[in-house]
Amino acid sequence: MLRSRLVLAILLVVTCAACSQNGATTGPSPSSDPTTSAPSAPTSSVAPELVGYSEDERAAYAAAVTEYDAFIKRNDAFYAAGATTVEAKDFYQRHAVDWSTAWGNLAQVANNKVTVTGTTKPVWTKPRSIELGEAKRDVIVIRRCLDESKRVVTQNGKKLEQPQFKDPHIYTIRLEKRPSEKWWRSGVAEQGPTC
Amino acid sequence: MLRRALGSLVVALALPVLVVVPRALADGGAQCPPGSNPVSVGSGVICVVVTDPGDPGDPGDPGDPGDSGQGPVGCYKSDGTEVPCQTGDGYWWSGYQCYAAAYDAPPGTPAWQGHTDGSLWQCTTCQTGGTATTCNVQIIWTAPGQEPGPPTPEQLASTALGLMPLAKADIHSAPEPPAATYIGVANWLWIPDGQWATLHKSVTAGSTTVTVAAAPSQVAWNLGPKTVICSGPGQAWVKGMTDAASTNCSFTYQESSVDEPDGAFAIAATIRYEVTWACTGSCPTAGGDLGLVDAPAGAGTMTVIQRQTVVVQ
Repeated sequence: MLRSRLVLAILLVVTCAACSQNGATTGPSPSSDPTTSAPSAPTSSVAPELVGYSEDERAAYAAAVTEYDAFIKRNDAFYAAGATTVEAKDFYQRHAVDWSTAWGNLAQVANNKVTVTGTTKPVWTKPRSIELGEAKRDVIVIRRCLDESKRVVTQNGKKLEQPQFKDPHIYTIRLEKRPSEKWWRSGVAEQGPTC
Repeated sequence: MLRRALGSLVVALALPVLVVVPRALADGGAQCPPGSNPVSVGSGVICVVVTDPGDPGDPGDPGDPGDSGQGPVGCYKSDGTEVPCQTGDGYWWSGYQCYAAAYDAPPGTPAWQGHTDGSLWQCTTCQTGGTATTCNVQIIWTAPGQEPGPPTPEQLASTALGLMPLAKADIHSAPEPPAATYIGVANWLWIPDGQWATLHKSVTAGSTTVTVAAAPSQVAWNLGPKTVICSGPGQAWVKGMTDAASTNCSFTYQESSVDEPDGAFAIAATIRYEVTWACTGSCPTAGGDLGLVDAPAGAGTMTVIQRQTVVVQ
């Protein structure tokens, strides 16, 4: 009796944890934009998290995530240098959704003699919403489980312990493509729960 | 024993799920050790000791355009150098001598410095000379109503006016110096017709464009003992004119200039412009006027002598 209750409890907890790991994402909502094509039928080549999205939406998502990865690479290099350079400002002005806040964040770090080095590793990335042509701009919101355990933070040359890096967290990131632009802009990653 | 183990296991496994729900985390606030603060690094959040929240000290008057008196109200550095009122870095904030743009940080983070109202701004000054490529950036909290912002249309109008080449009067009179004039003789006064022209200048800041029109309205002639206001440029006197010729801008001296320095009256003429402005684009008001504005004065001298009459019988 007790053994069966133990199994049941573990099953419940594991199931719940799995829900969390999936990010408790809302399923892809069919686009109401008549300019986008209808969602295509799931095929074996479509990643599970993209099932239900149209071909255009999946292509936009792939491009946006690729550009976000490139954005993060440059962004992290600026934090590794820990300096508010003109190059960084120009980069954020061109590639950030809210350049002023992205720039101010770097300034906060640089002004406090902080550097952030090391690497991060995406555990998984999923779309939260894909809206093409909404309000005259394309907007994709992604959720990414990020492993930051290899990140190294120093302040005034001394390494700072980062206990929150122990467990990967889910970050929510807004990506935008504006009407007059051919590229995706990246928003500041907002931290959510652990993955 | 097994029941206790089960309870511990359930709690241990469920804890991560339960702990991560609070809104603070959903809002981007990380759980940092005491004494450190969460700071976004764009791709994540770190915990650091924020010793410099960005307080730049006393700002002076953030709304002060950096000028005084009746001069143009544009945007200036403290050394008097004019700068664009708006660039890609934000609006010029003369109180802090930087370009400001809104900065977004979660409530309660060090940037807010304990405030719960007002707004945050990042204030950027970049070195543009030589090979320097770094920028000084401050995070500034402002009280409600103290926010930096775009120049008003009135300020843009004043800036445009300051950029206009208002004409310095090229003064003429008949008799024309260095010839002397006489007491009781009407002196014709005029400026060239070409100086009696309406001027236009536009200034744009962001989506707002203000066009200023300066139309000559009058010429103020300071002739020494008296000032005469003429409503036009005056009529040029040309040799050969008959006595029937007339002008609406003249002055007749009643006294000699013999007691003046160098024996002549110092005279000046100032073109006064009626200045109006019209706003296009993003405008709280469509237009307005800056009233009468004096151009730089043109100067000269006038020697006035007394005609001696000799009666011969």
